[in-house]
Amino acid sequence: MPPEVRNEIPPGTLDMLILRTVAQGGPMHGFHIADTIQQRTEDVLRVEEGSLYPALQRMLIQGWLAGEWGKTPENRRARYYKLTAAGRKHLEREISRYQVVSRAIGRVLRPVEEA
Amino acid sequence: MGWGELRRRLGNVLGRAQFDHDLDEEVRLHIELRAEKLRAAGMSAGEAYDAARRQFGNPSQVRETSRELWRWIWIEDFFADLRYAWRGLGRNKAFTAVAVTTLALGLGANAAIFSLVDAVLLKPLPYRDPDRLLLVDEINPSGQRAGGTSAATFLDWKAAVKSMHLVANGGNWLTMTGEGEPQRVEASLVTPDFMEVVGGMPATGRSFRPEESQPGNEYLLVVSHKFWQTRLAGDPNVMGRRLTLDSAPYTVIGILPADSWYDRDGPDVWMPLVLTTAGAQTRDFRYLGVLGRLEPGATLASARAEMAAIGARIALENPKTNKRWGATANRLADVMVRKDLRTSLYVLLVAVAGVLLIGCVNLANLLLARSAAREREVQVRLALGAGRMRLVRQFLTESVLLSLLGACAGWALGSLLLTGIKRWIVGGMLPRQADPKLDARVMGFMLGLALLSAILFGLAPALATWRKDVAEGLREDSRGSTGGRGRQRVRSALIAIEVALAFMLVATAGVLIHSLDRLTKLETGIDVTNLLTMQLPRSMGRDTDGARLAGLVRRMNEEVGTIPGVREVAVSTTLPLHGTGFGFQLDILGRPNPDPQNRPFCRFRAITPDYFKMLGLRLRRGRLLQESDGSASPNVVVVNETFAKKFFPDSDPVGQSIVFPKIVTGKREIGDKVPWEIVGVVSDELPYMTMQMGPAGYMPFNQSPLVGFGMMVRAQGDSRTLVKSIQAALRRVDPNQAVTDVKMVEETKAESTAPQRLRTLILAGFAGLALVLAAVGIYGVVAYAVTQRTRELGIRAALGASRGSLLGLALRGSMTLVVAGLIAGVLGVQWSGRLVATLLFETSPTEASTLALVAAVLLAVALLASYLPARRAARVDPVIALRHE
Repeated sequence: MPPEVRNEIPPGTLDMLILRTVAQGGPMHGFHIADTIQQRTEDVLRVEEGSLYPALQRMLIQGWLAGEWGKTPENRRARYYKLTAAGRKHLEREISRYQVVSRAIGRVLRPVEEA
Repeated sequence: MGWGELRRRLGNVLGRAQFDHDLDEEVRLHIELRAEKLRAAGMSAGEAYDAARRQFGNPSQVRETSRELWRWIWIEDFFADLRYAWRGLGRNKAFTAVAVTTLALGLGANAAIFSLVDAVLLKPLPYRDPDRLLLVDEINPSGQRAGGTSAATFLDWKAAVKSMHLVANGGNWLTMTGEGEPQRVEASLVTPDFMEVVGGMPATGRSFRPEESQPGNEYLLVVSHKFWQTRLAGDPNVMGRRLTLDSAPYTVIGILPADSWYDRDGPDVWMPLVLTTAGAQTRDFRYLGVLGRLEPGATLASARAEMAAIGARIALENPKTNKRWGATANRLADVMVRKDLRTSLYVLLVAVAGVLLIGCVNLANLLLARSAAREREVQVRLALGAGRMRLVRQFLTESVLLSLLGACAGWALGSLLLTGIKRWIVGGMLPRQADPKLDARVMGFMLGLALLSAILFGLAPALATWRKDVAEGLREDSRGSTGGRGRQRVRSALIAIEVALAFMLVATAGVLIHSLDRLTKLETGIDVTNLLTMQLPRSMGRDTDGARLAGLVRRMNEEVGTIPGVREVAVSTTLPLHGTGFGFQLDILGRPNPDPQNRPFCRFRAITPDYFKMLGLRLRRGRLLQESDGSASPNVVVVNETFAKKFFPDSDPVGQSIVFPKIVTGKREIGDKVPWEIVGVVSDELPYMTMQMGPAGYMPFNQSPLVGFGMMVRAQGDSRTLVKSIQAALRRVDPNQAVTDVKMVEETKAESTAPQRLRTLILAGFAGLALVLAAVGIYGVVAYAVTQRTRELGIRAALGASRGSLLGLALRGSMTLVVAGLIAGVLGVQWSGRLVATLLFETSPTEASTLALVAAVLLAVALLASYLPARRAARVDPVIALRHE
């Protein structure tokens, strides 16, 4: 399929992806998060960049991420997002929930012969 | 929302500017980095930057969305609505004034009446744990509460009862001497633990000890704070002070707390109650009030059952006095309020709610009219993307704002009304413990009512915006008669409801007025012109020599008779219109009584012979009492016509004898039964303004000298001018005689009708208000309708319709509604009449004459209210009308 056709991120999973990215990569700023997700999914998922920042703000309000202003390697001012303890707990909950759901879906979609 | 989130949100509120700056910087960085990446992939600088921007999307949108996440949208929306509503009200000053006034009147009246209801019916009594305080009473064979019990019965109860702790109190009037003029002092005699059980211990000193209820030890007083301050001048050495009451020295051992219910019409002093069953203290003398506090674990039901059993046992053990008597217990709060007071308050509450409802209807109509005018505004806002809920919220905010403004003004009006009402409340109308005032509870009630009203009248126009097709609304001439059809129906219904409510209110006021009129014109059967009365209290236990007391009274009559200007003097144990007098069951000599339990019952009073002449009672048979009927002569009695008709329907009572006991002078005892010969029959008199007398008899005071009598005096001129001379004359006979309750019988008459007059006045006021509001409402609706139909009327006029027919056209619509409302009102009165029926005196709540009059009045008012604006319809100039947009 043509690379420009993006697949939409399923609703509700954007938070999980962002948190996971920050959990694995340590504190990073907004652009870096978007870029990382894009690279990791091998370009299948491209973050709707407009929706990234409201999502980040939302997670700041909920207390799952903490923001801190710092300097990029190029010496530019940027806000770095860090995972909090509450965020880590939420991430674990969301991951396990996602796994349960996708397993269930998988059971439905499995080829009939194995039934 | 957790604490952390709350803190973060608040923090953001304070740092708004910084937030925007930061976010902008983040977005800028993001776009730059993206552009750099694209350039690294080979795009030119300009292209890369554009592509990055495109990929990012709309930064404003991002900023808006991010910001909104942090805000409490609904609070900010609310304040925006509030500001908008405030400006809107300011632009339409006339409308705002009318609306706020209407609401103020309705809410203020409700607040005032609710404060009365709250004080009398809702607030818990000021005693300790009032729900567990019961009033214990005997029940007579007719099933009614006796209002008191005797010492012997009380002691039996106290010994037997397990579910309650019983205490008793009795009342007495004593004369205090040695502190200036002899004064009357109201005393309450109580069992030692009374104050503790009820829950009001003295603030200074102590209450009574059990040993002080023994004869000889009881000369102690606990005084009320008010008594101490007013009658003892706040004497700092009052503890231990000696006061002389009824010529005996009492020592003050305690002072009750200030600002307690004790001060509000409580007795002046409290003394120990001495109970003896020795001698002839009979069970017929029911002078003690008994309260019981439920023991832990006991309930009202169990207490009642226990009392019923105990009462039955006492009835069995004492068949002579207590046969078929019983006992019961009730929550004090339930029996505290007389039934007619309760009903009056409910009626007033309903009436005032009706007034508010009419006001809300008016406002709903006003707002509906206004919403029609604002339709364009609404359409534009909808077209621009406003949510419908948002618009509804906007309209409701306006209503709430109006209501709150109305509530503020209403508070002021309400307190004025309450002050006025309280000035008219005579003592005894309300229970002693009630203290109506505008406090936090009333404010809470009023605010709740204001919000409810806001929803009621605000909902109509708010809903009107609900179903609106946007495209149709924006069209130029959308304001046609079709667009308002639904609205018109609502407004019509509202007018009819308004008229019905107003009718019900005015009709109720009408029957109350009629009832009051009948009451004041009531034939009392006696001549009370220029008749001065006074009570001459003497206390029990002091005057035990009957002959001496009779002689004293004779000398009092003589002494007062010598005062220049005095025409007639008499003494009676019950003054005219002051009550029924004491009552006995009696036997008729020579007539075997078939049912010993159902003996004839009669009310008596002891009088000096001039009584009959003074009151103008007419002699029907036999003779009146004379001075010669003294203690040495045979006992005689004169009976009234009702007695004669009831017990001697076919024969002449004169010459027959009836047997009933003599009361022992000066003691709460009943003596032996003796025969009294009936020597005459007189016409009936009323005991109170609204009661029939029933069978009654009059004995000569000489043959039945009793403590507890009053004097009646009639002078040549105004009897009131002789008060001082009379008091002086009485003191000449007995220097310690207190003279109290000096007033003309006319005043007594007025006082006894005071409750009826007050509630009729208040209700009439509300009814008048309702009438005015309804008239205003009708005026508004007709005026609006005429304006709406100007074009149509102009066409008709151009086509040749006469002025009269145009007028008729304009009137027809509203008058049909009014008639419909009247019919509904007449039906409604059938229901509301039942509420009011118990308050009326010989008047039916649905009497046709009053209803017809009220209907006529309402029709006339509605006609006038419709005619004024309808006149404009008749004067429509077709040319102008056809151009009317």
